[in-house]
Amino acid sequence: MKKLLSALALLFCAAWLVTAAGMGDLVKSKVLKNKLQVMVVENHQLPLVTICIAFRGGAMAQEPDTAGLFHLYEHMLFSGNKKYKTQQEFLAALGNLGTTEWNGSTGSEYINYYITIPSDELEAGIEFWSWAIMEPIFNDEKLAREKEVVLNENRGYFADNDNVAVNAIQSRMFSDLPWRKNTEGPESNIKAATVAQLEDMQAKYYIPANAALIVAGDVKPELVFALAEKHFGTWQGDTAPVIGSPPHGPISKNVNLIAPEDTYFDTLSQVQLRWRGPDVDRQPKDTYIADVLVFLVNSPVGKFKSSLSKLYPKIYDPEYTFFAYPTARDGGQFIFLTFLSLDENDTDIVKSAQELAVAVDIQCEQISRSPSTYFGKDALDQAKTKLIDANLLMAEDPSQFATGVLCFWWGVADSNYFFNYEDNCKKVSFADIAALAKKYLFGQESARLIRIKSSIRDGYSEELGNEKDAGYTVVSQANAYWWQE
Amino acid sequence: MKFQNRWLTFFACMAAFVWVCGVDAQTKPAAQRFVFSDLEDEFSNTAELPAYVKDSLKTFSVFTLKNGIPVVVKKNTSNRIQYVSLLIRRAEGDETPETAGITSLMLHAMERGSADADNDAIKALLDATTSEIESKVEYDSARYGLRTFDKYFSRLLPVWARTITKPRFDAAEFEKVKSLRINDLKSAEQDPWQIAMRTGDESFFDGHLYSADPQGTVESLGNISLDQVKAHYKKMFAQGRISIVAVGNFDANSVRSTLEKAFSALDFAAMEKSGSIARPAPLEARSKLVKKVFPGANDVGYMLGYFPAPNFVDPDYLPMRIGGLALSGLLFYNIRTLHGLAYTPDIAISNAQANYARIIIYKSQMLTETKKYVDESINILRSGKALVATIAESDAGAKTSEPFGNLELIMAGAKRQIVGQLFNSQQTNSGNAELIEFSIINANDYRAYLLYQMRADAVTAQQVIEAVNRWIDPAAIEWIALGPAKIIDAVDEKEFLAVQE
Repeated sequence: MKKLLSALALLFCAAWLVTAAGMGDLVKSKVLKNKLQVMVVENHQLPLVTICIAFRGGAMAQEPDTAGLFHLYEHMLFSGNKKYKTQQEFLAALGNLGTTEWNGSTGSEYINYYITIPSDELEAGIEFWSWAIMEPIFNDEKLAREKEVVLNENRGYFADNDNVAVNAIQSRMFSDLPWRKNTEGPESNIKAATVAQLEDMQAKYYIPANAALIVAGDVKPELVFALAEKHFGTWQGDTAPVIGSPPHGPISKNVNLIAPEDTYFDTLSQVQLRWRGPDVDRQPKDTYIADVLVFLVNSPVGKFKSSLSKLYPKIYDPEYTFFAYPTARDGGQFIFLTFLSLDENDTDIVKSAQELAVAVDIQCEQISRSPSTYFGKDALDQAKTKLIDANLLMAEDPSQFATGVLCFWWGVADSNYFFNYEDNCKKVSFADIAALAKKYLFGQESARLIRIKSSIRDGYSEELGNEKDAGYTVVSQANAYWWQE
Repeated sequence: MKFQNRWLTFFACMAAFVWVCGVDAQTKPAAQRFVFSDLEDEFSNTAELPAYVKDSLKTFSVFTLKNGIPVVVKKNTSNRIQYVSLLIRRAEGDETPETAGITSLMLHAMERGSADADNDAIKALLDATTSEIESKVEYDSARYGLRTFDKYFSRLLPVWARTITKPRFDAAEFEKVKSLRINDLKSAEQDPWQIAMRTGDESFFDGHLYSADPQGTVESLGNISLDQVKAHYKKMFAQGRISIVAVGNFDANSVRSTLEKAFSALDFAAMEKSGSIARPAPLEARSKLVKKVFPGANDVGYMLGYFPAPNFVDPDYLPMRIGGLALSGLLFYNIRTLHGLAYTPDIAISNAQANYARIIIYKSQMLTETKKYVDESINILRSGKALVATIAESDAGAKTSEPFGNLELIMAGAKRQIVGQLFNSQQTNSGNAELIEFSIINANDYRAYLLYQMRADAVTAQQVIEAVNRWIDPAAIEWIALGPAKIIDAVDEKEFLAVQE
C-alpha cells in the first residue's frame, strides 16, 4: 500500500506534508527592481546547489483552447535558446555543469524548472537559466517534435486509473471552469498549438513579476542576490497576470460517480468524499485553520479515525484513511478518502458509500459543535507541534525544500503567506475549527466517488439498479475528462 | 519534463563481510581493528587523502556493543534529524520463490509492536513526534530504521529497539500486515510500468538467487505463516548478519550507552550463527524479447532492456557509471530530441552484488523503431563517442552544431555529475546511513564511499570505452515490451532483436 500511498500523496498535492513554518530564519528573500522574487536557503552540508525558477500559471491559468499548453511550453523551454540553440546543446551544457538532477514540472497553480549542480558553478547555473527563461527560441520544427513527446506522456496519464479518477470527480465538481483542474488538456489542443501561442504565453506569464528564483544549498544569500541581479536584472515584462479569476463557484450538486476498473483490488473499494474548501485568494485565514484541522483528523490514533472506524467498521484500516486540504489559490477542496473491505454478503457498495458519508458527517457535526470536547486540548497543541516538526523534516534536504516546499507555497500563495504561516497556525483556536467545520463540511454539499473492480461491480446485479436510483454516473477513461463531456 | 526514475537508489546493496569482535577503529592496532575496516591501509596514510575525506573521517565513531553488534555513528550537525538503522545482510537460501517476501513481511510485522508496546501505542508515539519506523528490503540486504528528531531520540530509540529485540508478532497484526502487503502488490498490478518491471525482473532473474523477489508475490505472501516468520527472525538476527548505523547530531558516548542498554536484550549466545555468506553468482547476458499485452496501457508502450553490470568492487564500476551517463545523453538525443519517439529514454545501473542495468523506454508508441535508436546510441558510445554538441565552423564561416564527439570531451562534466550524485544521496541522514551501509556491505569498510571521488577522478576515457564494450552489447540485452495489443502485436521479434549497425 505504500505505493498506493505515494500515488495518493500526489493526488492530494501532499497538502498535510507541505507546510511552511519558521521560514524567516531559514529563507532569505529579496525582490529585484523588475519584481523578480529571489529566495535563498543557505545550507553548507554538501558542495551542491539547487537553482529553481518558478512561475505562477499551469492549469489555473488555462482557457478551454489553451488547456495543456503550459505543459507543452514547459517542454519547449528545454529545446533551445539564444545561447544553447538546440536541445543537444542544452543537454550538453547541463552535462558540462556537472548537473546531477534536472527537470521541469507543470502543476495546477505553478510551473517550475530546476537543476542541481556543484556549488562552485553557482553563477554558471544562474546564467544557464537566464538564457532558457529570457531568450527561448521556439520554431515549428522543434514544436512538432515536442508535441509527439507530450502526447506520449499524456497518453500514459490518460491510462492511469488514479489520474482518471481524480479528473472524473474534479471536472464535475468544478464544472463551471473544469479546464483549470487538468494540466494535460485535450490532444486536439496540443496538436493545434502554434509558436505564436507559446510566444503569447511567454509575454504574459514568463515575466519577472510572475516568477521566483529559488536557490538552496552551499551558497551565500548576498552572492545569490547579486548574481540574480546580474543575470536577470535586465529581464523586463508586464505586470503580473491575474490568475484564478473569476473564481470557482460552489461545487456542482449531486456529483456521485462510480469508477469500475479492471485491475482494481478484489477485496477493497475506495470511496472519496470532496467538499469545496477555502481559497488563499479569498479566505486566507480559513486555509490556516484547515491545515491545523487536517493535522488533527489525520492522527492515526486520534479521535476522528478511531470514532469513524468504530462507527463504520467496514473501513479497511485507519492508516489508509486520509483527510486532506491541498492549499489552493482558487478551487480549494477538502478530500476524505478511505478503503472499504468488500463483504460477499453485503454487495451494495452504493449503500455502503452512503452510510460512510453519514458516518463522516456525524464526525463533522461533532467537530463543528465542540471541537475541544471532540479532540481535547492536548490534541490541538500536538497538532501544532507536528505541523512545525513537519517543516523541520522538510528542511533536511535543501534541494527538495526548494523545489517542493518553497515552490509550492510561493505558487499557491505568496512569500508573506508562508513566512507568517507558523504564527498564523499557532493562533488557530477551537472556535476557529468549529466555524470552519460548520462553514465547509458539516451538512455541506459533497461529491462522491467510488472505485471498485469491474468484475465485482458487474456481479452485483442489484447494485446496478441502486447506482441509477442513487443518481450515480459510471466514469472511465472515455468520459473522465472535461473535454469528453 | 521527464519521468523521474526513482526505483533504483544511488547506493543500496551489500557484499560479504566477516565477523570479528571490533573495538574503536581509530585508536587500536590493526589486529583488533573494527570489523568493517578492510580499507584501513587506504585511510591510514592521511597525507594522501583530500581535505574533505579527512574532515569526514573525523565525524565517525565506531564501536562494538557488548553483545557483539558493530555500530557506526556519523555526526552530522547540519539538521535536527536523527536516523538510526539496523542493517541485516541477506543470503542465499533466506528466501525461495515460495517464501519470497518473508523478510519484508517480518520487518513490517516488527513495526507493529513489541512486548512492551502494541501497534496503537507505537503509532501514537510516532505520530506525536513526527517520526517514522521504516523498513526496506533489497536483493542483498534489508534495513530497519528509525527517523526522528534530536528532541525525541532518547524517547524513541528504546521503543524502536524493543520492536527488534522483543517483537510482539501479534497474530491479528500479522494478518493485517499480510493483507496490506498483498494489497500493495495488487496496487502495483494496476500500473503498467510496475508490471513491466516485475515481468522483466522475473524473466531476467529466472534461475538466479534474485528470482525470489524481496517484496514477494501475492501467492508467496499469502502462504507465509506467522510461525515461519518467527523462525525466519531467529535465522536473520544472527551473528555476522546485523549491524547498526546512526547518523545525526549525536554525542557518540551518549548514543553508545543508549544502544548498549537498548540492545542488551538481544542475546547472540542464544541465537543461531550465520554461516559464511557467499556473493551471488553473476547474472547472464542474453538476447531475448518478452512481449506482454496490458490493455490498460492505453495508447503507449513501455520497454526495459536488461544486461549484467559491474558491481561496486569491480574495476569497471566507475567507468561504467560514467558510460551510463554518456549513454543516457545519447538515448535522450537520438530517441527524444531527434525523433520524439518516447517521453523518457534512459539507463539505470543498479547497485546489487550480482549487478545489472536496465535501459528504460518510458511511454512510446513505436517500440521497434525506438529500439533501433537504442542500438545506434550504444554503438556510438562503444565507438568512443558521446553527445557533446560542439560548434563547428566551416571555411565559409557557417556555424553548425556537431552532436557527437570524442568521449574525452565530456569526461570532466561526467565525473562531476557522478560525484554530485554521490553528494546528492547524502542530503538526508537516512541517505548518509544508506551510503555507509552500502560501503560496509560491498567493501567491508564503512568509509569506502569517501574514496569514490578520488577514484572517479582517476578514470580515463579509454577505461570507459573498454568497460562499455565489455558490458553493453546490443546483441546481448534481454527486453521486455509491454503495452496494448495494437502496439505489442506490431513488434516482430526477429526484426526487434536484429541489431542495428
